[in-house]
Amino acid sequence: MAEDVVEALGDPTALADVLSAVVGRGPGLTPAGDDVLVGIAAVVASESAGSRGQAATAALRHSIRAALPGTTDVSAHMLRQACNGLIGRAIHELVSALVGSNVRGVRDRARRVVGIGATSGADTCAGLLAAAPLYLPFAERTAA
Amino acid sequence: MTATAVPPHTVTSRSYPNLYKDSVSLMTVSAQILGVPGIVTASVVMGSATNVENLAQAGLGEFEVRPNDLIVAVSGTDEGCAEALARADDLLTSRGTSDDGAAPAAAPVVSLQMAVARDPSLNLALISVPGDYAAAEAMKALRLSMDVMIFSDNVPPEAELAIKEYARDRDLMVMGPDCGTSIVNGVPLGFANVVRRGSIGVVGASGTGTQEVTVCIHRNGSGVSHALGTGGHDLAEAIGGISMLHGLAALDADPATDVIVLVSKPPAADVAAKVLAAAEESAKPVVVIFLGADPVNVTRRGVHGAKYLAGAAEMAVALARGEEPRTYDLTISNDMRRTIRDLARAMAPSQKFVRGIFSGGTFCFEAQLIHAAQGIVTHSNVPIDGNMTLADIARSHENTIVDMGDDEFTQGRPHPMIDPSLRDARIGEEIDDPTTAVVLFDVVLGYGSASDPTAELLGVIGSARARARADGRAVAFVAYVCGTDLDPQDRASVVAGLKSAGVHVASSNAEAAVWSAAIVSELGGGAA
Repeated sequence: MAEDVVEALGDPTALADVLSAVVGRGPGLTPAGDDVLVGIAAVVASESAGSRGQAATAALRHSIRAALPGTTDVSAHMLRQACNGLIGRAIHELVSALVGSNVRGVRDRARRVVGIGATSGADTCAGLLAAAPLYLPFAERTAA
Repeated sequence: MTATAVPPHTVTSRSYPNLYKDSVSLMTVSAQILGVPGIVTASVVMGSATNVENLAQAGLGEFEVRPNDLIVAVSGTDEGCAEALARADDLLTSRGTSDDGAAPAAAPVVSLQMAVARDPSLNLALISVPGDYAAAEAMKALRLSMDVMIFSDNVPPEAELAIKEYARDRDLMVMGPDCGTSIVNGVPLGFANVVRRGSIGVVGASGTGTQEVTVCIHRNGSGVSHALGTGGHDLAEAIGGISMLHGLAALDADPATDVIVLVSKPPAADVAAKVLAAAEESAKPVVVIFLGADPVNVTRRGVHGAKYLAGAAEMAVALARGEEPRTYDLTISNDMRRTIRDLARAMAPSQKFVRGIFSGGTFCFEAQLIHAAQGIVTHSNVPIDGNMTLADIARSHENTIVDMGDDEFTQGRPHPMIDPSLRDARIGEEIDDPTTAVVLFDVVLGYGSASDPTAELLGVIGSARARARADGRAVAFVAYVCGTDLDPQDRASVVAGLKSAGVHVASSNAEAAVWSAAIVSELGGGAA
């Protein structure tokens, strides 16, 4: 489901379709689908994602509006914030660690994010990992 | 999740309008009802459009709900479903903790309002957040009828005035902004020392000033009822001493307080007049130390002016015992005179100047005053009237006395009382300077301060002194340790460590400064 959203980011019609199926979906006060979207937003809205990321964020922000009435108030608010680049500190720090290719930092911070809520954190990570390879500039690294 | 038909098979559900439970609780409920015998499928979800659709597709029912409604849907045997829904209802509507420990723990307190809701007896809030937010937090606390201590600085003066006027109208106390030290009901707040409880109340506009007065009261065998900080800006014209006047009135009304001490750098003239008039009105004897002001101009009926911090403490202790207060005696003993002469004689011709390296702002201020009284003009980052501003705070010039706890030194760094490493390095540099005759410094103990504030310093002094000796120089070290035998640090061993490193440890900040000034005078320094 995370991959479907990421793939649709460049196509407004497809994006609206996918979002209507993802927003509000699944268990939790912030339904799992919404947590996944937060992870994606955290990546594309990050400074490191550059102008492509900005375009994707704008598309997400625009297309998600129609779907928000379908989810809980708490979650809709969280999504609105995320599409404006306002995300939780732990998630933000995980994105920074990914960009810095800081392996230990990624491990520690991912652990912290996974610890959020019951499954929200893990769902957020799923979204984040789907978007990261396409939007974050990773430092060249030689294979260990 | 799909039910592989196990007849007989019922589907039941229940929805809860506008019920918000955090995800952890929802998972818990879900797991619990799935464990009920006879249950095949269980879903506990918010009624979002997609979830409603999914439930319908899974054959768990058609729901007319809104996204903020909670749905519990189960399938299985008749008895299982009934039992599961009852169980879920129990878990979702129960308040407080259940004895199986599955219920979520109480939410952590994240606001003043939550704290007061949980314990209505709370009546003091300590605020330490960046200045921009401190004023807003203080107002929240005052609206909840709490007294407030604002450790933070950089609250705009208009905001400080607004907060204090609001508090005054409601008979509440605002300690701060920029209030580093208070002792309320025997509880040290901020940078504060552990002192005996007793009958002397203190209202202080300066943090280390208050620390020194309370420490000296303790060492003179008396104790402190309360020490209320007002923050460094309270006695400015714009604020008018609202907190000091409130503190004075509070101690005046406090049955546990017999004597009151007011501590401040010199206030604005109007404010000083107002505070002194209120002190004169007090039914209790009041000792006033406005550092740098002539005690004679302060003294009036029932009001005793003091010149030094330690002297103010001594006066208060005498008054509390019903004795006549005497002027603080700073005469140098004959032994110490001889020592000072020996120290001066051992110095190389290049050694002329005092280098005062302080972590306590008021100690720095008092040391400058005492040197100035001996005609020794000093350079400082915070010069008193008549002294010079240091061109480069990182480099001493001639006679120099700096406050390393001042903003310029602490940008992005912990205060030297918390992390003395910059102070230690600076002392090392001073010893290496061939013109340095005396290194004068303070060590402040108590809550908030480093757990072992001289751990590195002794090594710094040892190695720098060896270098100086190889260079034909002998630097004199004079220090004061502000602390009590009850402080979390071991005062006796801090003093012993300094002494064994060759540091002359005085019994008050004023005495240390007097010794230092005497050495410089002995060298013919001073008027450089």
